[in-house]
Amino acid sequence: MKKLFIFLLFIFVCFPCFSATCTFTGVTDSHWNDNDNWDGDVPTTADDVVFNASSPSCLIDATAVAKTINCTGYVQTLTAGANLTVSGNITLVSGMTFTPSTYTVTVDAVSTIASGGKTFGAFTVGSSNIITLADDMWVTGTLTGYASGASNFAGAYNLHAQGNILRGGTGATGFFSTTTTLLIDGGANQTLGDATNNSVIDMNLVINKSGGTISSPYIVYFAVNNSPTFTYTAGAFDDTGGTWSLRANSTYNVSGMTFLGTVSPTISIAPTITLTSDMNVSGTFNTNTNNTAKIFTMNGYNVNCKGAIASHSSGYLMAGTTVIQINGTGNQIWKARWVCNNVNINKDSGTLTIQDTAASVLYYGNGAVTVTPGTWTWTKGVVTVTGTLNIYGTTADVTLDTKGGMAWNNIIVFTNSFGKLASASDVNGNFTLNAGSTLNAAGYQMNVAGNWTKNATATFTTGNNTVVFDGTSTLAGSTTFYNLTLNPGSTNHLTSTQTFIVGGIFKAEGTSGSSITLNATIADSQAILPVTILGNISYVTVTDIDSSGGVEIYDANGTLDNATNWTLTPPSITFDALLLGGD
Amino acid sequence: MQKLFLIVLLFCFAVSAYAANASYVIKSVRVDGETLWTEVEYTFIDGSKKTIDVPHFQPKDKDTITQGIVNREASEKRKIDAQVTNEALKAEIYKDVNKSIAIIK
Repeated sequence: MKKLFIFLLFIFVCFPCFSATCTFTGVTDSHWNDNDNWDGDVPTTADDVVFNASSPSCLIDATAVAKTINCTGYVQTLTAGANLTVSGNITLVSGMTFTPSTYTVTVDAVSTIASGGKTFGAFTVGSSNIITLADDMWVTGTLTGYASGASNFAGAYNLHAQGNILRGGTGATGFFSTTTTLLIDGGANQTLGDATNNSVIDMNLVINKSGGTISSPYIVYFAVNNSPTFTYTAGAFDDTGGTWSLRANSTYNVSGMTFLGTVSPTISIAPTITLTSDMNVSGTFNTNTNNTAKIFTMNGYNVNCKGAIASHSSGYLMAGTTVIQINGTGNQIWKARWVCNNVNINKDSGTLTIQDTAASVLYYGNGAVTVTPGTWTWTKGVVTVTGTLNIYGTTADVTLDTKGGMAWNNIIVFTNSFGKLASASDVNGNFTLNAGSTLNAAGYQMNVAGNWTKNATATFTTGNNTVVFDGTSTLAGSTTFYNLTLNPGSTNHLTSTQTFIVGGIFKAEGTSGSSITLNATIADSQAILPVTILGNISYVTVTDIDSSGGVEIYDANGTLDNATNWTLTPPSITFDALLLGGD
Repeated sequence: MQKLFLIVLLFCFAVSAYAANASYVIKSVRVDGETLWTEVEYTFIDGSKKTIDVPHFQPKDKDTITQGIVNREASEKRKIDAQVTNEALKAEIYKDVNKSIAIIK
């Protein structure tokens, strides 16, 4: 025991400066780097530095270090004339003056920083240990994150970044906090990130600038684990050429600003994004991840897409309650593959082109996952569709509300999927109902210029609607229509031996210069077309059609060949017609 | 007489300086989680008005909110100025539409 005591005594005698307290006395002058100015020697990284009520003004005249700095009671001026590294707490007080100039304060250990309302110049995070703010902290120079790990902040205060903000490194670096807010509020121009390291911000972010522009021309990965909120209050924002990659769950109050660059979820990660205001994107809005097992979800308000809408080539589903509103005034291109959100096309000018090649496919609906499919709404604007729309909603209706204002190219109601119309629909190409699928036309007119294909196990619910064929069409798969209209100039091939029932009115009113062709796909093999109510029929060239199951059809000025229950003679006047005064 | 003239001049100057200020009226306020929203009607120097929802995330005090509202006026003014400038530039550039212009290096 005695030996141990002697050993410990030896240790304390040999290392008297271990964690010593160094008080600035300024006996000689104001210079930090002078042993005579300290109660002890010039501080080392092991020393707690004290500026007390008796301490005079101090100039950090050479690169300085300290374990901690405590200015409690200090009323003089601490001036930075060189960089300072602190390995612990920093306590500045309101009664003192801190003149940081452009020099950098680095904190490289666990630290609590009380700023006392003082402003730092440049500030660098020198470790991944947590820096706890005891009050708001201002950094007017460059705020630089730790180069080799996370820059972790704590304390429900604002970290006012009034200069540039640099991540400091790559990999698992960036600014992280669950409580501290990174407040970008400089009055002059500021830049977020750099070309080498980009930016990672996983803490609440506010832009509230009184002047200047915050530029973000690089990639910003926003959100990792802390579900932060991004709030725009004021200031000019310019992310031209940059990308805001929405990496994890996060919330956005950003209606007052416009993203000029790209906004997208991080590839392979599918976050849930909550909008508490509209999000304006003039650059490219990328709707998809490339992870087929995950869903990119956006809830609330609108994404106002004023530029291109893009996707990953193997992208999966974008879902949620957010409306993808396409309302740019110039030409826009949509290359999306999988979308489930509500869509609203609302363009005052320019043309929206959906899909860049005729072979590409847009999947609209929830696919095989259990989220609520949206409604595709056309409000106004010119739309050109070159690819195929796949209605792919396997658990609920995917709704089209295009008001006849935009024309689709091809539509396929995917296998076992449900589609529904909320207004008139126009298909310039082919319309296909795959096996097990259902389309509820809900009484709304459908115009089809191409082929009509209905699988035997598919369901077409008319809601007493009208289907108009206005191009060159082959009808395959027995179908019950309600009203069926063949437009002047149209050519219509009904698959031989199959049945196409018209439960309502059949109209085929050609003209001398624009006759209608109606025939079966195989010569001398009739297709079956029973009609319930006869509309105007004229100038129809009918071949291999059997309408014996319905009313007799009078084809004024038509041409008939192997047409059963068709006649070129006007129908006889009925007793009912006489009673009603008809002709 | 000279004093009167100076007083009138000073008054006119003061009035014009006052009139040059933009102003705002907070029409409503609401809280949505950590964000306090102010619906603010700005009246800009030219007399035009614009109503904007200004979000304030975790505001510490009234001064913080006021600062956000004032800052937003500057931002909106900047947008309006940019639009005016753009329209002027558009008219200028429009004259060159479809013209072949030599590149001078």
